[in-house]
Amino acid sequence: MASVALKKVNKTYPNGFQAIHDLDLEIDDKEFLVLVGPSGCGKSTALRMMAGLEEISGGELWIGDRLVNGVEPRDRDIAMVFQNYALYPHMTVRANIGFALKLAKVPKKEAAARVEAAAKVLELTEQLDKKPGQLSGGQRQRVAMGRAIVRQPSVFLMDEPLSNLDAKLRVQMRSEIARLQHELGVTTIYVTHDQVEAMTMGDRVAVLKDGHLQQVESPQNLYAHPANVFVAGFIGSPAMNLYEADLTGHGLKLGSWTLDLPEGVIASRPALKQHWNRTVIVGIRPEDLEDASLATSPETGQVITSTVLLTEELGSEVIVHFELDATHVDSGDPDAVDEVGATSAVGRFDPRTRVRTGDRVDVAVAVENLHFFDPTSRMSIWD
Amino acid sequence: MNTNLSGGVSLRTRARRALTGYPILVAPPFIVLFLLTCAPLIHAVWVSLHDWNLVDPDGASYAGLSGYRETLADPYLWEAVGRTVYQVVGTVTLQLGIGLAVALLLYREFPGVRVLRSVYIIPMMMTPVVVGIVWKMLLHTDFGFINWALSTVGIGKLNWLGDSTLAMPTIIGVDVWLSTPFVVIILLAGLQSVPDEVSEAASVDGASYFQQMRFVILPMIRPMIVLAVLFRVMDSIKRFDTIFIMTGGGPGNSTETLDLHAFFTGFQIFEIGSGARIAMVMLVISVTISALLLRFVRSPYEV
Repeated sequence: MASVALKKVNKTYPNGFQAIHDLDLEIDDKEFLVLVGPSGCGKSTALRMMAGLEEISGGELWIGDRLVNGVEPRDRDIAMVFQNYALYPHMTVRANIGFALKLAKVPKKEAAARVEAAAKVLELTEQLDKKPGQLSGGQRQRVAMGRAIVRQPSVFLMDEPLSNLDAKLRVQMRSEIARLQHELGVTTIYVTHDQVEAMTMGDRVAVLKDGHLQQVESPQNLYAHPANVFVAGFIGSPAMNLYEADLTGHGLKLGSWTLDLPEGVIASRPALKQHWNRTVIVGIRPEDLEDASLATSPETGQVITSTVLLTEELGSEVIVHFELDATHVDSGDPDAVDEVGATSAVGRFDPRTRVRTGDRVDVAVAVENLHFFDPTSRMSIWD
Repeated sequence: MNTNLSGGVSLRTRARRALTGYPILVAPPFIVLFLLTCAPLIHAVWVSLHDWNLVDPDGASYAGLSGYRETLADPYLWEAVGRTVYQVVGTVTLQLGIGLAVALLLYREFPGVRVLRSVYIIPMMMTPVVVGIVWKMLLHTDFGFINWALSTVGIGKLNWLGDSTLAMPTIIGVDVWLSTPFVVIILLAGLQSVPDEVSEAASVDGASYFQQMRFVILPMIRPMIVLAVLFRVMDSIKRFDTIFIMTGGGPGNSTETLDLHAFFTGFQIFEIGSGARIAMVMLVISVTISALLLRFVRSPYEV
């Protein structure tokens, strides 16, 4: 068991490309930290540096009370789960799981017992004498997990371990891994580009973009108080609606609509006053947009009338795309597909809604939940 | 549904289809292959069952197995077999060792590695006869580059190809130079097929470089290793050109391997029947070795 600390860690490749910029991150003992970001943000590089598979160009990496910058992967007391599992194809499942113990010269009897125990936890007992080629994707993934847990290392490093599984299995393994981590109490750093994994599994989530750390927070806080426009747009699905809007005497001028901002909204965000009569970036989560006929006591002045462009019925909710003539702001997520045109909004409506494509609809905006960002620094405006 | 597949099709139609189907399409390559490989082989078997000196082209007389008995009882044959074993084992062992080391070196990425990989293949592109001539010149006792280079560090002249104990190691050395690149290419392809993640997983699992090699990388490329050995064994058993050019089997008969022995018997003293029998012995040895090796060409991914 150990904590992990990255102090001003940098990674520059020989061709001059800097993948990681001054990354500061402290992961507590037994914590489950998720490293999330769009493709190419440096999250895997960061993890590989922790594993020792990638050289650290600058800064310090501490595991427990050891500075491990120059330490070989095998001496770091870590276990890693790879995206493609990286099983040894010529070995049986038993040998795969037990390989590290064999190298560590653990007495044969004890090693065998530990392999059996790990296999039992992962329900692999039946498969122990098979080779990876005979296993399904989910079973291979569990063998990769087994190889990690049998070692009882101080730190688990997981590099998108679920991304090769089908959707259903992924959901199942997600909770499985979270449960295992909790039971074993091993410090875990988990890299993913899937924000659902990030939100559901981590004690804390670190968001990375272009090698820069954006925010480290608990999932709830990350969602409720994104530090900047990127995090706001990246976390949450469907993504937050982001527009340029003007703070005027009456409230918020959003396209051709003006929304009343009650005193409470301004009071809870004191810094907003400094932006009065200026343009800001406003963020509206889809769940803060609702069919006005179903919303609980919508205030007039907080309702937008618009035309429905598209509805996606998911059963428990209806995702409604409707026209909104404000200037759309790009969150900077390279993986995001831009919305139909740049003049629409996405709302998450109650399934009882009757709206259909082409309908005129009154949309109630939950203004108390709006997010505001500075248009130049793109940082959130709170206090 | 009609479950009788032949139902409704007359015997004549089926016969016509059988005659105009694959057989016609396959016939040309089959005939060519037959004429080029099977026919000579069959002819060689026929020759080997006869006593026949080419001095009298019509003088083939049937000897049956008694010719074989005579050939197999000839101690000279077994000396040639011994020299062939010496040559093949020496060549292949060195080539595998050096080839593996070079492949591991060229497998890593470093500046200039691409150029180096190409340069290393050059010996393979050269005609063995030319290689033999060039090396014969390089190894010349009085005027050769090798002895001159050695003299600069104080080593006296060595009679590389003229000394009966030194000649075979020299032959082996030249073949190592000539054919190790082939082993390197095959092993390099094998190494490149091993995903980086697997060796990374092994290093995280606590394996040193040599442990990674021993427990993970080498077992994974085992089929490639066996394949390289198979090709090289086959090839060096019939290594004729360089030996013939450089030593002609000498000095004495110290480098007279099986194929040179067969050649001399058949085409210098014109005992073609006896030469064919020696070639048959070679064939049996080659086929046996390849059959044994092929059993080891099994993918580690299989069960």
